[in-house]
Amino acid sequence: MEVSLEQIREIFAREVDKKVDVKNIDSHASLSDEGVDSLDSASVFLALEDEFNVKFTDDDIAKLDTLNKIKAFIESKKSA
Amino acid sequence: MTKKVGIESIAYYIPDNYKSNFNFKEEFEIDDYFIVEKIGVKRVSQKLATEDTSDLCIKAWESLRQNSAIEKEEIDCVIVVTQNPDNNIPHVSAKVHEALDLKENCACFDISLGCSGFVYALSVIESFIETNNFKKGLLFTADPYSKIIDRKDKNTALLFGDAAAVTVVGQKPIFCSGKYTFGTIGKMHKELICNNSLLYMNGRSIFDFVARYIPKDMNLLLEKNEMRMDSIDLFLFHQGSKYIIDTLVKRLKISAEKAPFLANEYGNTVSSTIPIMLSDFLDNHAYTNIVICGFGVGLSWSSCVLKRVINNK
Repeated sequence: MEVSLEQIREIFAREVDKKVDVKNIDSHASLSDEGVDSLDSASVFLALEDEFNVKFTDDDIAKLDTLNKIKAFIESKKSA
Repeated sequence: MTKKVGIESIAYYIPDNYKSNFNFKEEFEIDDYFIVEKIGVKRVSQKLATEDTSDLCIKAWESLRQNSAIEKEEIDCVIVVTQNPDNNIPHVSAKVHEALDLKENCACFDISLGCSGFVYALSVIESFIETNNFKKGLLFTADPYSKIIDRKDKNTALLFGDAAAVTVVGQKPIFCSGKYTFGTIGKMHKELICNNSLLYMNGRSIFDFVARYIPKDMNLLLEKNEMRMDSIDLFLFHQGSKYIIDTLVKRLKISAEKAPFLANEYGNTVSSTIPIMLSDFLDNHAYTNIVICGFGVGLSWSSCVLKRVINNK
């Protein structure tokens, strides 16, 4: 199953603090470097779980620090 | 439908000894924005080393006595909600009984619950008073987490403050409760736990729990009470953090004014957050229907609708 970056960006835009410029985050950039903190992250991954019906462990989240990595992770889970 | 037993008055004690979270910006790599806008707690109250849990209860009682006349003879029961007692044995309420010099035929027991404790215990004390035809009971909440905080743990060190509250429950209430909801997800008990005298909290798990379960619980609560969201004047949620409250506001689609975060200056005082907030609204008749909702250790939750009694004479 293919997941679009736009879908993920929309969830980020909805859940992440307004001070983070979600639209312009490079898909390879480190989300924490872009200002996404641990609280934003909790909101985003909960919303991603609800949206795509996949489960993220704490270890998964620690590794998924770019939009591209999140996209690939969801696609791999949906294809499994 | 309201019952005749309910909340008559509330008083509290917050130790006048604070730790500013702005002093920990470097150690925890956080900024002012994170402190003010995200966790919302600028400083946490902390009891003195010489104070114990029962002492906090006694200070709350002294505050109550300054503002309202209450006859000790009328007090038929005392409940203390705590998971950080003075000692494992005896129960804190027995020490409070001694300090307050209450009559011998007064029932005293503790309830072991965390942040959901006030709401659970309110249901217990109301039923206990009604069943036994008592006049009044004292419901104390006192859970000084400073005893168990790991000061190097960013997840907890910036959040929890010490305080105690005492709620007088009796037959001349200002607020009576409607129907309650209760719940427990026991399989998640390790997400908020004290091991070897140190508190551990998985912040993400607690967030997920609150964001998933509490909005559903609000809908169930309103349904049980045959009420609608817009008939509630105020939602007093346990003050886990500003971020938790903001999340509930967003998920419930209610205004931020209806669900305030008020713990900025003292922190998350566990089972005392709700009675501390509620005390400020007791005499404000603009608020008729108030939801109180506690959630945390267990993981557990409980909610009820408090309905103002128009004529309690």
